[in-house]
Amino acid sequence: MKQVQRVLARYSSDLFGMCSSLYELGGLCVMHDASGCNSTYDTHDEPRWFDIDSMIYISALTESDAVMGNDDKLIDEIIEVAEAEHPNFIAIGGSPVPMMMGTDFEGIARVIEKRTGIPAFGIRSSGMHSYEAGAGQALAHLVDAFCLKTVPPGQSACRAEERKNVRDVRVNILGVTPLDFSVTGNAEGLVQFFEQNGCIVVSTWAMNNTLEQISQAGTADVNVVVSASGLLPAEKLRGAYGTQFVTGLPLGRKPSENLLDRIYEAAVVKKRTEWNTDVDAQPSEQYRAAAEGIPLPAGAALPPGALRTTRSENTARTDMQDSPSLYRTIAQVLASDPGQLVYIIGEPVFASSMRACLEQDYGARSVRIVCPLEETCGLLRECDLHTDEEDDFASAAGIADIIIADPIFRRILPRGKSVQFVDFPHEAYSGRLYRSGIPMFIGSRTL
Amino acid sequence: MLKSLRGEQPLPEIRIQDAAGNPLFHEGVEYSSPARGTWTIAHVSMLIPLAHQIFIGGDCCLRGVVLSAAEFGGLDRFSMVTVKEDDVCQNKIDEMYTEGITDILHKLPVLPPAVVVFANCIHEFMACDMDAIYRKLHERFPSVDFIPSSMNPTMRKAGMTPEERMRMQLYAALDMRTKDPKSVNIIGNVYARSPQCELVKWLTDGGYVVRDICTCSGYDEYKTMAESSVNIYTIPLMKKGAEALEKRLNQETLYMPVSFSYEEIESCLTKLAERFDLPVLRRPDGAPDFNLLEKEADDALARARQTAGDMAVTIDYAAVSRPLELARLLLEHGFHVARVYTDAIPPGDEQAFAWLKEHAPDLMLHSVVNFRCRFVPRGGTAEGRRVLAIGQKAAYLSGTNNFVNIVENGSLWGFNGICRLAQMIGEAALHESDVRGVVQIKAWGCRG
Repeated sequence: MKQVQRVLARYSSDLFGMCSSLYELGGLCVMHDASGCNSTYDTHDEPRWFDIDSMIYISALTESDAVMGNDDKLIDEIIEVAEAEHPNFIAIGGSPVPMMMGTDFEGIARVIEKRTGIPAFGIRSSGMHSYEAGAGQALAHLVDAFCLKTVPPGQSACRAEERKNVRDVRVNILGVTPLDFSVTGNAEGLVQFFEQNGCIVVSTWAMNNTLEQISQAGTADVNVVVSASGLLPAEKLRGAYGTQFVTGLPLGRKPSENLLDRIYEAAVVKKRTEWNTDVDAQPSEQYRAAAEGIPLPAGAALPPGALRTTRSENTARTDMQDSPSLYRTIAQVLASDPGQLVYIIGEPVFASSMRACLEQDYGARSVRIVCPLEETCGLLRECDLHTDEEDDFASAAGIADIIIADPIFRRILPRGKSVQFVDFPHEAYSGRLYRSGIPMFIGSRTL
Repeated sequence: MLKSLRGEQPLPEIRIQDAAGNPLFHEGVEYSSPARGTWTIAHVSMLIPLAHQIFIGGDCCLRGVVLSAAEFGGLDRFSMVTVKEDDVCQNKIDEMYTEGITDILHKLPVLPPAVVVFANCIHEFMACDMDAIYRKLHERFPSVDFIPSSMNPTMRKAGMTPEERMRMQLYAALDMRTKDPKSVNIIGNVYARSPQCELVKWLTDGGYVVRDICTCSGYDEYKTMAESSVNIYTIPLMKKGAEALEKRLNQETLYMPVSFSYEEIESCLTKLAERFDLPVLRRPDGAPDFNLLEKEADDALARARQTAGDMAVTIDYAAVSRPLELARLLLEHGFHVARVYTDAIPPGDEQAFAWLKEHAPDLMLHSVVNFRCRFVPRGGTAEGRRVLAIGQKAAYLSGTNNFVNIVENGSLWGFNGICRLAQMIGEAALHESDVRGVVQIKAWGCRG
């Protein structure tokens, strides 16, 4: 039966995605839900809760609030906190009961903003969607609330002629939250990767960065969407500044090089965009799946590698440490039989980047993805599955030779069938349970 | 990065002298500390041996409980049905409830003897016909005891609270049996009372069988709790559940609270001895003689006091059900009690509250959920003294590593409980603990 989880868990929800994405930016985030319901986020989804203060609170919704509405009470209580703590912004999101009540969070945010003078935004969340929906909305609101006020569209990217060399390519990294990158070094590894390979990282949305850095996002040449949570802000930034975006993770050697190629190509296309409106007809979606090495239409951009040769070395660099040897077992298996059927269950940008790594670095010929999130980022192929149903996961497991997934998915492995299961813990799925097993997966030596 | 507001805001606390009304603090948006040792809805019903849990709700509701179950190794006894927005809009909730549970039970390798089903706030507001749902489930699975429960924190101020209902439903699968006059239940706790405490020891020495869900090793043993003639409950949360059992199973109810008042403990023990005809040491006037027990407790507290020196003691409401009574006991035995972390006067603590207002007016009552708690200084000192905390939340909010790791009264009861707590206080004064590592573990002591 649909929507039944006999043995599996659930991914983090939109409401928690909102909080996770805004955690470090000095904002006040209020979950409109009953007292105690915040403990799920605080405990399982937020590894920074003990060590880093953040104004994440819950409204402590009661039955009478639900029946009567009581929006005024909610507004007054949020303003009380805002007046005491002077947040940089206020974000409000809802859970199932407010969804049933039809709470107008955008309207409530407008009232709060008017009364406090603090930028406020409502998130359309219900606690019934996967986390990237809330994280993406929350990050996208930062564009209107801060980026456009700091960098007006006309003064956005560095003009190409001002760029002295290719190292001047400025990027924003979009969609970085502990839900996808945990706190085990991958967020830092991303920045390091791009900086080591000739990019200037303007901002990282939104770990290890300030709101001031994020407000400068309009000065970037290219946005890099590294998780599904980064897609909405990327689209928003493209609409505001015309900045192209590339979707993918630097994961493995060739995909990392391909990603860098696409970033440089997108930077050039942006330059063309300033001069040639024809390029506007080429949708940015062409850069999606960049990490998979999908060829660009002829004439759309420079051939892969053209700009790479101008860099100090002709392969992607990373100083990150090797991932655990466990992952080398995949390579060994594929080396003996590249036709083994591999299933990757997980977040779409990670999964497609991992597929690219297996195909391009290790010659895998049959790699499929099961994407359990609502947003696929357009990265799925016909052979892939877009589902969060336990029965579908089990079906995939029934035919797979190798599965790369969070350890909780081990619970659907068929009895009596030999499957090589590679644990790849995902904080958005198993929370803190397997955090110590989350590998450094960024860079050219993922496997 | 976030600008630190630590130390820049007024503290969410009041002198007990100034405390008026209950709750003690203005209610508004809430903070949640990372101290997680108390048992949650996903843990408590696991006390029913071999019972399978099924939670039904939205993603944000299910995620917390499933990962809690995973953490204590309980996933083999745990399943879910996910409700999505369309299900609410199309009013498919009742059907999902019945068919979802049916599907899960058909796929389980072995049909469990009991299934605890947790509806949530959605079901309350959708006015699901639970009677019809459970009738159908009983027809389909006649061998299974279905135990309706709920995960509906929205209703926490409407009649029976979710915590009270959860405790009551622990015993919902017990059905009427012939009573054994020599069998007694202790109900409502997540830890069994210590065999050494007077409550258990006096009964067992008197030839009674003491049953507790916390020590039941199998479902049959759990069901025999219906044969006990008396239910003793020790925390206010179990009051309604005990009353329901009295009505439903004809089991007598006795309230023997976990108390830190010598007077109340002696009152309970006197009542216990009379009701069960237990032999007790008596004074020449015939009244029970508790001098020896009192002296043991006094001595234990004196030793702890000596070890703790001038450390400031803080206590939280989650450590013991009567934190104010404990504060009074410690003050009366020479401890410097600086602060009690609680947002309300707990039931049963009213007398201690009144006493403290008069005799310790400067004792601070500190909120645990007020939004200002996020930024309170956690330097491990209070009034210039090193802090010794009793309870995880007190340890976290005080910022000390010297703490007594106890939640929900632990296994304490009576004079023996006071002696054991005094010993823990002494150990906490001498040794630091890994607060960060310990307090974030949910449901301290829970095993799947």
